[in-house]
Amino acid sequence: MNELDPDLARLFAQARAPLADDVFMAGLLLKMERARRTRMRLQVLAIAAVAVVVLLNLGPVLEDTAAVVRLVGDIPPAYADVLITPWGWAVSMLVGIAAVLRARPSRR
Amino acid sequence: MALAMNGDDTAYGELVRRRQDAIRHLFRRLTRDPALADDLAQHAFVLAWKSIRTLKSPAAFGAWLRKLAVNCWLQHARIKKYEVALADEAPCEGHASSRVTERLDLDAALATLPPHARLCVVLAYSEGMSHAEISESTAIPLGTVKSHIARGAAHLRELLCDYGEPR
Repeated sequence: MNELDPDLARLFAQARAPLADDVFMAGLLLKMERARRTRMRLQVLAIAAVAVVVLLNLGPVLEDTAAVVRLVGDIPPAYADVLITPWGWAVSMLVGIAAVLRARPSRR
Repeated sequence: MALAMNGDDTAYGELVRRRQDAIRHLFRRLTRDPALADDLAQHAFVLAWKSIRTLKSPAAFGAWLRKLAVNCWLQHARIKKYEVALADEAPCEGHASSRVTERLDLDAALATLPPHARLCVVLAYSEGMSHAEISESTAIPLGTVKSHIARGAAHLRELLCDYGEPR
């Protein structure tokens, strides 16, 4: 503990009269309620923003997915047997990822 | 404490009720304005309520809350860029010895100190914090804390000369 001036310490101690808490608590509860409402509004806004982004991107992504599905549908049955092997599956995944990356709306 | 940390507002209200006196006194010494002090104290308690889940140990709540309060004050002082001007009232002129007058004079004398010096003096004298704790809470270098407290106390002694024992 560091040395303090005893007279000043006494003055500081005397200045600590008990404070009534009812008005303070009422004001605090009001601020907490306001903060809670603000946080809720921000969460709703964030969800809405995500929904808008999803909606804007959904159309192009679905179109490209449909194109990929059509392409896969056109694969002859002989190739289908290859697709279900581990190597075939891995290659198809890479092709799929490449197709999705190519179809990103931001690239248009 | 555990309930408050799990989002129980009633438990948090009880915590506030127990701590509000100390935090409000801290801000009153720092601002000299009871309304502003209560406003800053409420702000500190709202911040604590928002981030109480990040508190690692319930036992550290008091120190954590005080640190939050100190940050609120520093932020406020930064925004307002408090003017360091001698208060309108002359602290040594009155001779009334009631505690209310002493308190007013103490607050008036504190108001003449620059914000960082005032903060260090209040944390040392009102909160009983050591120099090292003050340095850690305020991010002010230890040497600067010591000099703020020594010079601040000397300045207060000079202004509050009527209240101390003759030295």
